[in-house]
Amino acid sequence: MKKYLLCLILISLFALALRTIRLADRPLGFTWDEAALGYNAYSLLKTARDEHGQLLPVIFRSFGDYKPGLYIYADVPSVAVFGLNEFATRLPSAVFGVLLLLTSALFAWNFFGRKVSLLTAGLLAVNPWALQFSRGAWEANFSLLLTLLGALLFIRKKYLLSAVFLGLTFWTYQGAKLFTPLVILALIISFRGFSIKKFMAPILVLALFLLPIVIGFSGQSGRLVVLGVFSYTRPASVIAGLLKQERLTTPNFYFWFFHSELLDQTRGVAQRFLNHYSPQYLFFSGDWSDIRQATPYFGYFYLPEVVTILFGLRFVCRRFTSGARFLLLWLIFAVIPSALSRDIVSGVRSLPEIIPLVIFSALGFSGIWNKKLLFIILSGVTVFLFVNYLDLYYILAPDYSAAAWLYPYKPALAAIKPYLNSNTRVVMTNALGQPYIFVLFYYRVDPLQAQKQLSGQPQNSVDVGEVASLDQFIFKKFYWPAERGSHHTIYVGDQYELPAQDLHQANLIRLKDIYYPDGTLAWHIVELQ
Amino acid sequence: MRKFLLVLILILAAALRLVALTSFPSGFNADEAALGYNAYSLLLTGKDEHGHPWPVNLESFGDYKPALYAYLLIPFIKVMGLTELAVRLPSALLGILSVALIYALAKLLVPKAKYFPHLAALGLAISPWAIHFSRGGWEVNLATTLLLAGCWLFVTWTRSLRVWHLSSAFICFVLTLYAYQSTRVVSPLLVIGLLIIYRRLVFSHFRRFVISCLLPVLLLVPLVISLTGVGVASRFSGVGLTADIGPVNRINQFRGQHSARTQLLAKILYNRPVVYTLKFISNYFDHFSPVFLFISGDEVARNRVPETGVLYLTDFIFLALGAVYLWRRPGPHTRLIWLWLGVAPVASALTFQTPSALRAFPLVIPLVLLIALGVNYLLDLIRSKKLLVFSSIILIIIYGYQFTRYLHEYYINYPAAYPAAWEYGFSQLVPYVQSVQSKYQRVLVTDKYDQPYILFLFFSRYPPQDFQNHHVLTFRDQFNFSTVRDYGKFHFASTPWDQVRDIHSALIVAAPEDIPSVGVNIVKTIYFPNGDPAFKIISN
Repeated sequence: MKKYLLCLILISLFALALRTIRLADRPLGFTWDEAALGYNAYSLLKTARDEHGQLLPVIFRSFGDYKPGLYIYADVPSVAVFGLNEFATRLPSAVFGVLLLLTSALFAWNFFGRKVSLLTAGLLAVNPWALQFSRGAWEANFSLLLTLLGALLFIRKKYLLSAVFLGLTFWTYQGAKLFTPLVILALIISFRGFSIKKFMAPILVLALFLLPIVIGFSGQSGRLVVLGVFSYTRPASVIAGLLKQERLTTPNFYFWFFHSELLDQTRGVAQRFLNHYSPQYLFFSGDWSDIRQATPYFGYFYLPEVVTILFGLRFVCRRFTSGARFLLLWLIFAVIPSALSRDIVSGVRSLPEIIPLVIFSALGFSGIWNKKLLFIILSGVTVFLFVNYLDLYYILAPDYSAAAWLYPYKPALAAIKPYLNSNTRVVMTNALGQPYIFVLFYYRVDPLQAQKQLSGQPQNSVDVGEVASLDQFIFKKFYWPAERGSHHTIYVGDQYELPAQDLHQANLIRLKDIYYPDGTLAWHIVELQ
Repeated sequence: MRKFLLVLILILAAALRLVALTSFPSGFNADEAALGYNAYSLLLTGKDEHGHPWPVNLESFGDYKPALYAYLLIPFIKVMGLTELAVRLPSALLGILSVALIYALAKLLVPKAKYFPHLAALGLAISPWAIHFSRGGWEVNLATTLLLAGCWLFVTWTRSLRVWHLSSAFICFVLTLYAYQSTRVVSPLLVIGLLIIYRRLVFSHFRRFVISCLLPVLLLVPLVISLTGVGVASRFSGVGLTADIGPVNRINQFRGQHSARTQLLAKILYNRPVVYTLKFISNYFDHFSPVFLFISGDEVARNRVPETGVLYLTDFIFLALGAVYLWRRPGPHTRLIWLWLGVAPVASALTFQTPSALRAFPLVIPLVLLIALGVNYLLDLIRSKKLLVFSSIILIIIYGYQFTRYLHEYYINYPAAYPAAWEYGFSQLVPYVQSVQSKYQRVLVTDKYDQPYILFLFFSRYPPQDFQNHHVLTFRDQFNFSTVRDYGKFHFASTPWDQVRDIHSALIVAAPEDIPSVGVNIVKTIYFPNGDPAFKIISN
């Protein structure tokens, strides 16, 4: 037992190191969601209100995406201790990643014993998928931790506490609205032998947690429309092409029987669902649709794990215990929220899928423990690929992903700062999205000021909106011929808004050119005096 | 009753593979024409189109196709003449035979599973992958049927222990080496795997084993001799994995992004062996990608049907169930299924165009077996008679719909969506050109569609002895393919209008986009079934 605990502690420390080293600049860049989480935490810290002035909200309006805000509350102590910077904003997620490792180890211990528990911890510590979403302020990581804790407590028959944690997931991440009920369903199917009486109080607790979500739902449903797969139907050109193939001018019953929209949607959902189990997704490229959600040129699991995961799956199919049943149901349910969303594949939305797969992998490694040669070969290749992963992540990734991680904001705002005074305006491009939150974050604007300035702005769209101006900043895509006549203004724009051949006026000073790590130009910064 | 059901399934398989065989797939592609014409040439002169006597591999377009299918065509061409039906019929018949063979094999593999053999036969009969590659002159179908026969005979031997069972099994496997390129990798792997799985049996009857090997080894001799020739290696360098220089570019890029301190690390991590091995493994697993299997199939138009995978959409459920069944109740012979599943994509993974529904076609057999096992497992698990009937009806409705939709996509949407996939048009073009060619000094034909020369040879039944020594095979292009640019009064090249307008006393068969619609003497236009123009024929 002592050896087990010692190993677990060592693995956890190793995992913590992997998740916190260079946390501020790997991934290189900082997204607007992260900046919003950090700044709202700072705002809560100083004024107990969010950026829009709401007192201690559960749901944060933010950009109009109405994020559930538990991560922001978790950020408050981190920002208090470390200040308002990238490291402090991302730190809670790193810690949650380690806690997730411990919870998974406990979970594996409960069903499969200590060796599998340690193997689970070890595999999760170095797992690329887990690392990707522990390094960065991702609410999904926090939500997964709470869900797994809730499930574990349910299995240990602590129903009330379980309901608290499962309820908290609704306050943490949008996707929990669909996944947590599915987890509850999986728990009920897999672990029978409980009485309804015991469930009264927990159900009440869950309902209490759901209350803030339900109350604000109508205002927040815009996001669902944008992200849901059913909002997107085939364009008219595709239908026209099909009609031409059928030699019809208008659709008739025969046409709809073979080419109905329902069939197309079904195929779309099936494709999204199955994509998350494809070998390409798991072992070779991760989420190929979004650079931010995976490390370039690497998958979510190490290649030898294709063997161990299959071994583990086989083990679990042969000994179909309640734990096995639960893991298999979780494996299927984890992908459903992604299957119903617009994106063809999503690493963050299907993050819960990692838990059963890593446990199966641990079972597989445990199963081949005695086949020394095979074990050594698979472990050796895993170590090699782990070094490969570290190299890709720390040395090579910025060249490929810095643009997706919105790299230019920090250096640009740092470059402008010395030139700001009371009568300069700044016109900054909003091509990369939500520039206002980066101004608030990097300049550590006083929250009271920010709340005043933001409260005047209307919510101008159904889903995520844009803030047009903040104090002396104006955010827009600008047209240089119309702007070049201004004075006392600093312009921050890309090569199209500030074309290099057009920057030769007498009153123009080129303050700085911001480049991406791979050498391409990001922004020009110029001042018109 | 059992036999009656099997006969019904075979009739269904026959109908699906034989009805309108020459019209669908719509067209006749260059490989089919090459096989047919070379068979014709062998029949009449004992040499292939380029004059090589009784070759093991047909030089054809410089791709050195294994020639067994062409030899198989000889009796068909003798009886039916050099026609599209003669070329396609053997493959269709082999497709029907493989349905019977999978039934026999399934019965041996899992005797306890009641419905399994019929489900496997039905599954193969209606499988989109199997139907697609039974309709057309596909050598891979011949190879797969032989593989199936070999495995069936081998498993039969493990129970009967008769020498002639094992010997005929090995003969079938040896024949697959003469049938198709990718089975030259897959078959040896399969045989080695079988010998490992059944090693105890082999060792305890070693004398009989050796006797069984005598005739098959003898049959290998022509192949071994042919391997010393020039042809086969060229194929690999053309389509092989290493022809893709993307990985090499990436290696250089990655190494360049490392500083001098970390160069050693970069060299260890990023080098040809590592990167190409990873690429091979990635290619291998591409064949298990859900989009390939269930949603949209291969990317090459000739190997796919629109909006259909190589299997039906709902097959993934039963594929998973089948795997679970095999894990829970392994039998003495079930490792064969895993073995076949594992080795089938290897040859295709060695090429740079993956996943390939053509080169990995043998994979259809273990997949159909697993799906059939999955359905069988589901039906087994249901205890109540009423629920059983209900589930069967649901299954029939769901699969009936998908099957009907597949037929609709195959017969209606496929020719309309990909009209040029099977080089439609030459069966009308060539007779027309033949009827008017005496009026012209030369005939110029566009090379927009693959290898037009062979299609002209085929449809005009050009005498092989006139062709054999009177043509030139061009140098290989980047994919290591050659073509013939001239024979008789024909010239095959691209036909942009500004180049061809000055060639007089010529009949010009041009690609439609090359030719303006006015000021040109277009004597005939040949259209695709969907109304788009295929050829514009100009008299100059």
